[in-house]
Amino acid sequence: MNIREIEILLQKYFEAETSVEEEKMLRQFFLSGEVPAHLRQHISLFKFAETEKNVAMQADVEKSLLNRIHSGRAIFYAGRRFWYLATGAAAAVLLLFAIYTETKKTFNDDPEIAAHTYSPEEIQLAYVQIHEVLHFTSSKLNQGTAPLNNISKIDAGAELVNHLAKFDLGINEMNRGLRRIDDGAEHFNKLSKFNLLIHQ
Amino acid sequence: MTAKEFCNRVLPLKDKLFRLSRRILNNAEDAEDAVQEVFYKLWMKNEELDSFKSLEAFAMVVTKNFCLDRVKSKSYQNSELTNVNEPVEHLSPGQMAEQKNEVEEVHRIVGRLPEQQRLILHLRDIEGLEYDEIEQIMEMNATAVRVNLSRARKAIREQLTATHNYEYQGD
Repeated sequence: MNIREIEILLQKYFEAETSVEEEKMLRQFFLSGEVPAHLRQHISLFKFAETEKNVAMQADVEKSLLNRIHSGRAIFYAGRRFWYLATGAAAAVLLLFAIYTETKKTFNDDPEIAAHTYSPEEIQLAYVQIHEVLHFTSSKLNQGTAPLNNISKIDAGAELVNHLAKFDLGINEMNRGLRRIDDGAEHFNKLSKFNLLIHQ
Repeated sequence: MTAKEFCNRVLPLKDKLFRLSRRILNNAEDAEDAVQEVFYKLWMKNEELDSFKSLEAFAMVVTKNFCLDRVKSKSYQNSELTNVNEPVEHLSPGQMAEQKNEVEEVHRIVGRLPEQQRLILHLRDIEGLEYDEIEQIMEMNATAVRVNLSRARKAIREQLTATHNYEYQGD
């Protein structure tokens, strides 16, 4: 690169019209130590950029960041998601419990009165409706568990594993509840058949 | 993005983010705090990070905005990186010493530049970013970036010349 070319590039440089490559060439020239007197005033600018390039951070960022994640809000953040799921699950459990006690109540009433008040068709309808509700609730529950997949991506700590284990217990409880309601519905079925029998 | 990916891809940006923070805040200690905060923010968004084309540009934008807010809220003095009141000693014997002082002088001049000029100069001359990356980080258009860059470079040239002329007058 001759001096004339350098001077042209320099002009472009101050007009912000140089490319990254051209600026590299200028930098190389000015840091080469072989700069004619009339251009020496520009050395410090390029030298400044060169020294600034390599400035590094002193503190151990990784360590303090990981400390913060493990001790503080990150756990709460994961916990918040758990809480959303827990309240959804609680609502589902309450709903199922309400249905269960309702069906149980009706069954425990005087069977003759129950048999007279409900027609076989009504009993069958009730059975179908209960099933629909249960299907709906369980599908919603599946939607609710989708975010759980993201939690598995966070390699945080033991607390997280504990939370998930508790949720598993909840799901088992719910499955048990569902089975009992299925049993209750079966009773209805049998009752309606029995009703048909005694009325024939 | 998992914690492991975060460590491999995001944490290595720390020095870049530190330099940018220091340029805005004009203070190394505050810059270190800022970087810690920014990393925490980025970690909180770790699920969204995979969707960004340029992780680096995003991290720079977050850093820039965080530091600019910091500056506004604490009503920062226009403090400078090096000792403010130290006069430029022109008695030093060798070229090396002269150049070192001149580099410090450039430091001071850059610290006094208007924010946008200072940032764009930093992103181009120190970080070597292309114009489209700078436009993305600064959230400015191409013309505005070039105008500010040109002004910054010229300002340094002029202020350096002025200092030299003043000193040479004394000889």
